[in-house]
Amino acid sequence: MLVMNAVEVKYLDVILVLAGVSLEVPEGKIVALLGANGSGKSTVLKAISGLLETEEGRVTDGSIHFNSIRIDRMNPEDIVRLGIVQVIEGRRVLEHLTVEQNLRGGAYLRYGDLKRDFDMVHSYFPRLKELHHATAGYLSGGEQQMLVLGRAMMAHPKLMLLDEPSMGLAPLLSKEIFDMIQRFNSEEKTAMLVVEQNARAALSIAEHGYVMENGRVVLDAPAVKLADNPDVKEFYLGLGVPGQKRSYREVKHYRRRKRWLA
Amino acid sequence: MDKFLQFLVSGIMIGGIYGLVALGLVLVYKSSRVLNLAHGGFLMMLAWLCWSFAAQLGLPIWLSILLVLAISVLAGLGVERFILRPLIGQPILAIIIVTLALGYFLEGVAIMAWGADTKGMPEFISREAIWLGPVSIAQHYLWAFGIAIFLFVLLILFFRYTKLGLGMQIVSEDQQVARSLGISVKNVFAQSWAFALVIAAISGILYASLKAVNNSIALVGLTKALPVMLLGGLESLPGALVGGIIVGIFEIVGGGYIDPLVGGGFTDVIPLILMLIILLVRPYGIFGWKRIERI
Repeated sequence: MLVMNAVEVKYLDVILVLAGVSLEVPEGKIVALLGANGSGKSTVLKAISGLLETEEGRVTDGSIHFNSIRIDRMNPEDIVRLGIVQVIEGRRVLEHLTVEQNLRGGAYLRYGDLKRDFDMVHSYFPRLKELHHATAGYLSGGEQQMLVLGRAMMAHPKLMLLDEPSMGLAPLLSKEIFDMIQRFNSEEKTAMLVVEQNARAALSIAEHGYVMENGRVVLDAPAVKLADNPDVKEFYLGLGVPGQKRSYREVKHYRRRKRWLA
Repeated sequence: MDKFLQFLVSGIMIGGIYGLVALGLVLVYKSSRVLNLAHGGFLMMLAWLCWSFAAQLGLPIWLSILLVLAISVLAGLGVERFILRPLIGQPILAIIIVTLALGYFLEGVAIMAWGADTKGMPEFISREAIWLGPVSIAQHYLWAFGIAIFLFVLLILFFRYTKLGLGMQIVSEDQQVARSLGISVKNVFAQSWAFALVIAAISGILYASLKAVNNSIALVGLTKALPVMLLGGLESLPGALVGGIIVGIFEIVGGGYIDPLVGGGFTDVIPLILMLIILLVRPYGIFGWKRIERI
């Protein structure tokens, strides 16, 4: 469904952030995109959704195709029209508007009565029903995250790009969000590309995963294989040798350097 | 007591016009966060154009008004295309300074075209006074007030119930999120400016027909509309109306009682004093959006 081919992205024409990224999101599947901070994960999402141009970024090489349509030169507004919706990181609710207005904003490009869509969102996030007329800026972090997800759901996207949906949330709430994401994928058949720091949660709902580092994809495997990969375990899942206490004296970077690029 | 009532009613009437002028400012600010310092210049320019069509070219007044409205729509689209779009991504202060320059430019063009004299707008509403009890109101003031209220209600309904109104509010909240929802920010800017200049045309023509066609109309945009906008709240449409009426009342009532004591001129200062007080006491205005911060 979505194919990124050797994509290079520069900000302000000089800052190279993606150095040849290739990945694929098959129809109806969940794909996880992992990596440390600054590896370029958000930039991958913005390159797909076209929001790069709001940050002075451009795709300078390679191509992105969505169902055989080339999208890397398109306006973000037209890309949304094709069915690709990004949930920007950081719970960007429209603060002074109500929950209802936020959700209506999500359905901006659609016409007709939105009652069924509101009901759909409320079935995933019952809390939003009680908060229907509340001012969005005063909601708690978890409620705001539900709101931005609900806003994306209102558009009935074919591909949803999720940027760190669990960032800054309590573990229980984070689990609830991931459950809902998985449920939405299985019920609506929406393909998803999920960028996450919480590798364990992301790999538990995804079919396939990519690991990025310094603007490149360094690992590309089905999610179960990634979860078993010893490098991923040590560097992203925080697992050492079972049974042994982790000695921080041993954790010296030069002892076991991971140089996927070497 | 009768004198007080007379001042009060006059204040409310003129306050409606001030509110309408401020409405144009609020529309632009609401969608693009730009404080349009050229608003007064547009008021004056569009009033002059109307006078020019009606008095110089001899067209019937209703046709002149329609032509000016059409021109104002084009002007609004033009401002977005040739002034805002090249400045996308630049600091907001740069755009505001550009509107300041545009205002001066418009004033200069008006002087070149029509000189610095005062002219009278051809009448389209009777100037006779009607009596409501002890208070006399000139009919054209009443009509102007009525038109202002009507437009207000129309716009408030538009913002609350139409998709375009929602789109404008979303764009003013967060441009990047707006684009991520598929809203074309450029189109929203163009439409907001077109709306705002149509309001400027209507309020400019009304104001000029109440007072006179004169280059000083340009000042109304800043010295009267800005205090109204601040009092009502920068993003609030109902605030512009309420603020306008309050400023109008204070101006006429205060001026009516104090002017004779100081030999005149105090009336014009009152809105500015009000502006100072608002900024000190409640900067968001009555209905303005408060800054919501998560700690």
